[in-house]
Amino acid sequence: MPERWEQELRKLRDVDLDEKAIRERTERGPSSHRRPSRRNPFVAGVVAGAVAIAGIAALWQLDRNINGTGDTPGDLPTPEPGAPGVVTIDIRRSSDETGDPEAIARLGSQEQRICPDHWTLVGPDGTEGTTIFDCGQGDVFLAPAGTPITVAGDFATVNVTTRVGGDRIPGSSDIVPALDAGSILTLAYEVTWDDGSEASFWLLLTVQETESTTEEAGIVVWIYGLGERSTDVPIITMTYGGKTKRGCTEAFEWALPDGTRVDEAAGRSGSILVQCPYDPLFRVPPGIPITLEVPTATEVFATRTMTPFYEGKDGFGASIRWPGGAGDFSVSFEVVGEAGSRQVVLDCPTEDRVPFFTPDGPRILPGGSAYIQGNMEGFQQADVIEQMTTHEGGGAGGWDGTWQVVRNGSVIATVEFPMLSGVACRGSGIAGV
Amino acid sequence: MQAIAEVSLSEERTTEAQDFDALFREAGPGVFRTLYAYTGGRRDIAEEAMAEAFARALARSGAIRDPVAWIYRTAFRLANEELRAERRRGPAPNEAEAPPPELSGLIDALRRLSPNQRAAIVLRHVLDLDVPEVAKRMGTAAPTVRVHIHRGRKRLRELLGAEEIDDA
Repeated sequence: MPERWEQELRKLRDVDLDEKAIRERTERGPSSHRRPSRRNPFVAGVVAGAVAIAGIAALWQLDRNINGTGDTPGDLPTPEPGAPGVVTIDIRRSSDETGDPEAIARLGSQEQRICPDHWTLVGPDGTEGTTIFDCGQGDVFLAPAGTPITVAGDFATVNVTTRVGGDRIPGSSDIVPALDAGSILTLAYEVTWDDGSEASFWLLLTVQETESTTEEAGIVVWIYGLGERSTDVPIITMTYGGKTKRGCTEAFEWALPDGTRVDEAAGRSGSILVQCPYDPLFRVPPGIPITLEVPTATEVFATRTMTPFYEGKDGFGASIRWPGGAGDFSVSFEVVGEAGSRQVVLDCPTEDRVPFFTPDGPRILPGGSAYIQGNMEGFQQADVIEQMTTHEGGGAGGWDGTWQVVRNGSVIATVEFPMLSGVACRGSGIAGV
Repeated sequence: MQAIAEVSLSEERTTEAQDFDALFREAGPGVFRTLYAYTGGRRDIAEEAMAEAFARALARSGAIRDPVAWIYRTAFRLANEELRAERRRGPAPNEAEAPPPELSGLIDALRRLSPNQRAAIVLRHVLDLDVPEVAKRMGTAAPTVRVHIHRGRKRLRELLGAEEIDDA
């Protein structure tokens, strides 16, 4: 027999919806719905390459039209600015939203809800309730070395510990220590309140690149698997000129240790991927290197190793595989500035540079790098085929121009699009050379 | 060629409409009842959140792998946003429609639970979903759902009574 509360609850099964009204409202479309903009040419190129080489057909579904739920790729999280140049940790006994304890880290425009490990709350009648959490951090939180950290809130006591890779770092709870960019600090906060309640929270703080190092390094793209920076989605960031912005997670799928499968439409915290606006994250000069950092990947495919020599909107795409899953990512940038007389130069001695000519026979006609790879022989799966120059008034998609083929960091061939003539390093296998 | 493209586009739209219709029939009542409880009996917010979530799902048709779970999560978020906005500005006099008399005791009790406890309880005990499925629809982890259900049940027992009732 059910208990009374269960029987009461079953009354909800008789609650009817106004189907006609809801259907009519649904058919009017999302309330602030925007039609999807066309994918910009670079993304088409990025995706075409990824599809052809990594076989990710699903990417083509990703002209998604999501309207503003969750974080928007681009500038790292959201409003309510903290004090400029200071990480503030705000810890409260009762959040306005849920009444439960909460802690929030802020720096500039970044705002990160901090994960609780557990809390023990003492009620007005003196009874205690303890909850243990299975919690992960929802996003990357970045701060440069030397940034002060302050803690505020309504707690009675707070105990802070800082660790890097499991090693405790004494005396570093009030300033981001001088560690290499990309290092991750775990800041743990154990707090108590006057009513006897207590809670503990932890924050993953990534040490941000400084301006001088990033200018020298060009663009650095970091990609983090699920659980490394966020339990919701794998994340891509692009760092340039001392600033880091979040790019687009185009698609992902993951198998959790308990067997649960998550993907871009079924993230763990109601997170679904948001529309990638493909607006440039940065204005960058032509011909600077792009370094990809994915320390935990088992397989990496990238669409660029450097910015092109021509001006305009462009970008970088990557398909990554980890032991637990896979994902596709992109960042957009705008190339600004004259490339001068820069040309593609092969990384092999002059005597080993062998010209090749337009192949005979019919050609398959996908665009971009897929056209080159599909109509020529000798490519390896991890080769990067990237456009470096464009002809004035180039053909469809703007793909006409000189492309370079990069293998293991070395330029091994140049290919003229669409003629498919060019020069390759002897022994590379490209075009049979 | 253009005619072929138009025909296939038209077929695609028909299929989409049929799929959507089936999705609405299958998931709609459950979504609404859960939202009704989640919002503490706010039919207006529940209807709007549900309609908006379905509209967004329809707009990105084909790009969502698990539409039912997606709709739930989106609807929860929309409803929550509206409830928060309302707390900031205060409800308009005619917004908060009183629940029907037969539900007033239940709704009053549900309002004393947190929104997440309400959602977890309804998904588990009204829609009879197992915990992993509840977690999927709420977009949270199974252990967290168990905590919400445990606390919610305890509170409902206190508020509505735990004595056994003859079900017949």
